[in-house]
Amino acid sequence: MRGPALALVLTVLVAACGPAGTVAPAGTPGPEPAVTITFWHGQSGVLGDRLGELITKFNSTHKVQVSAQFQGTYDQLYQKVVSAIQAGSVPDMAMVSGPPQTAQYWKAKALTPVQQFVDSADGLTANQLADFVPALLDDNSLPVNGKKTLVSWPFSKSDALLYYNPDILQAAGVSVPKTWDELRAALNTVKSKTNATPLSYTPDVYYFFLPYLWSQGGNALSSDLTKAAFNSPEGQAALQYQVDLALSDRTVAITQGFDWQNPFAQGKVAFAVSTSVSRPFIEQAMPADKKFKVGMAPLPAGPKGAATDLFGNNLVVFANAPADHQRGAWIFMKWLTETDQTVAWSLASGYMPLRDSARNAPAFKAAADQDDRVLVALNALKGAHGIPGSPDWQKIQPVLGDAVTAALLGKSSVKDALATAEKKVNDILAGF
Amino acid sequence: MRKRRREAIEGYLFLAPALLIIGAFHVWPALYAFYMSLFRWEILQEGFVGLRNYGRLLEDGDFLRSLGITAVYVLGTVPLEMAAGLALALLLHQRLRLRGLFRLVYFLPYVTSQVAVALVWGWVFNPSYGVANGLLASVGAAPQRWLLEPNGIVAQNAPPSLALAAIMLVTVWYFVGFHAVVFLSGLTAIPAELTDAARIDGAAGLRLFRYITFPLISPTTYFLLLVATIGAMTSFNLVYVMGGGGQAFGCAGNPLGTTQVAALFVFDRFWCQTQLGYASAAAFALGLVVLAITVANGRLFSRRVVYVG
Repeated sequence: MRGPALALVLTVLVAACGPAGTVAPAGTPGPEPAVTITFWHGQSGVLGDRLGELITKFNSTHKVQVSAQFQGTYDQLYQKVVSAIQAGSVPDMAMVSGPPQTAQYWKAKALTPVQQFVDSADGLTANQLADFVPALLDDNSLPVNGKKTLVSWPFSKSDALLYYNPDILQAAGVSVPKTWDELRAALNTVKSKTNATPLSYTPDVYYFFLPYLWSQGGNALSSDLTKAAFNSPEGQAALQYQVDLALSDRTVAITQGFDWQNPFAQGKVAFAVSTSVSRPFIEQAMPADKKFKVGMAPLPAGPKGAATDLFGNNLVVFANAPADHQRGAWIFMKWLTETDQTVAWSLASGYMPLRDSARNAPAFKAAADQDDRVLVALNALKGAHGIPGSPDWQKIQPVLGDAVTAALLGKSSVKDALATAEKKVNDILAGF
Repeated sequence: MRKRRREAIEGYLFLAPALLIIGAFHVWPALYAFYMSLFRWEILQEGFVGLRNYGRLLEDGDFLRSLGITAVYVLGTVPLEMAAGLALALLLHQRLRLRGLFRLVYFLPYVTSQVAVALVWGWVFNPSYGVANGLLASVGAAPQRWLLEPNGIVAQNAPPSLALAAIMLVTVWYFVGFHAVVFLSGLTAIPAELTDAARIDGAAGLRLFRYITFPLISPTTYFLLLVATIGAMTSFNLVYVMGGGGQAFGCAGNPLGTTQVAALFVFDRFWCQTQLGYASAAAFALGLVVLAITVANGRLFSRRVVYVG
């Protein structure tokens, strides 16, 4: 059978939307509710096993019981949550892959803001809250009635980094570049002095375009998220930079998805860009006789310093869940991000610890002493930006992606590509 | 009288399972899609917009482009896979040694999961380590970007892009065995006395094919034409997987939308852009286009079909 698109798309739909969000009463410090909460997540493989272990630990020490249900990839998880919101049968809590999805659920009135629990008697003191990395709290906040409000809660976070092969850098006589200009020069030196591919990457909005844009002081959208802001001198510089590498210097090999990973692991590539969780995958792909120490550095800096974007996932509580379930979900989320657990999860998964106090936790310190690369992602967090929390970002991102692709393939000039994208994005934001 | 009624009830009972399934998974969703298409509907139902979503489709360059790409895809695959399928069927109809083995080999792709097939061909066309570029290199030709190439193979900015052409090639490869097997059954059904009589009259080779074989397999040809056209117009799996669905940029129909056939447009607007109402309108419109073309096919070709009684 060829894919019956119509049926595929439509069978998933179920009737009627759920009732509007009910507001749970701010909990008095009562006894922990003896409820079982359902938690939809998208953590598979080894990470799924480690998460399962953490949940078992929680269940054995709490009255609240967590029933974790794996829902597939982030895309599948998103599709299931959207369908569940349609059907009015959401779980108590779920993993969300980033602020745009949170903003969509929020717009659909499907969420109870986490702020409500943070402020409740079960919540966190100002000092406890201040222990969380500020960029992460920003990543989970949306403006609600003009006030910055925590809508979701951080869990597994990573950021984009520069990967390098130290052996190739040494052979070419270049040091780890600290600015974008230094990176461009380093790529040219690698090209002229070695046989290696200087840079291999998948032209993606996140790994290159946005960090470069931010490092110039630019932004993708206006601060109120109502207008495109990337068609600016900073945006043009960001796209021109990639075009220069690809079309003038010819120092990059453009790949698809994670295809850069194997050549990099085989020692054929000097630089790559990916998130901090890529290291285990690269190490796994290395040939046994040609191992090297994977180098990790923050993304190069621009005039406004270094910037990177946050990846990974956050947690949300659904408005349709009964109040005691919501409270149970919060108790679990809070526990999950306590220093002990965030360190354990970080060391098990390669995601970053979420709190400053984690740096001083003995287990994390020991790991950092043994290998300082666990600190690279954490240090880069200072300049981390969340993906713009616009409910329309899902529509905007492919438009930007096409602008980058069109310019990189030489099918469109930088100026035209950005102008076309700007018009489309403004149409989207105007609610078309 | 009573007996007839009982028979009727029995008949409906036998039909019930199929009706239930078709009703629940085809009729009801289609009706519901039409209902959704009358609203602005993102994650939740918003305002009633009447037929405005349909009006928007007519002005949406991306939708019109997806129809154009679909047309190129259908015209580039259906005639080819039918012709190749018929040629294979004629070959396999001979008394060949290992005929059973050949039949199996040509039918094999068709019984393989489309997603698996698409993934394997994705590797073949991978620009960094794919076999396709390896072959080009061995004859000294320049490597291609294959599934990443938005430039057209005929004209730079006209479909099909190299990416779409590669997907079309795989589509033909995938379906040719199916066509061959169905044609083969059509060939087997031709009464031997007709061919024998024609032979006695001196017909052979091409003439035999032109005047006896081809007209007599016309019911099969007609059936395949309908099924293949409908299938190609709603094609999803191969194009979705090979066109880089799920890639970080652009949800479906990479590169630069040049593989975004109509079904992918629907998917993209529905899941990637969460415009549920608009996507439903597109799905419904696509359904109407398919229906119109099927009716046109019937008008054009059904009169030329010869049934042997």
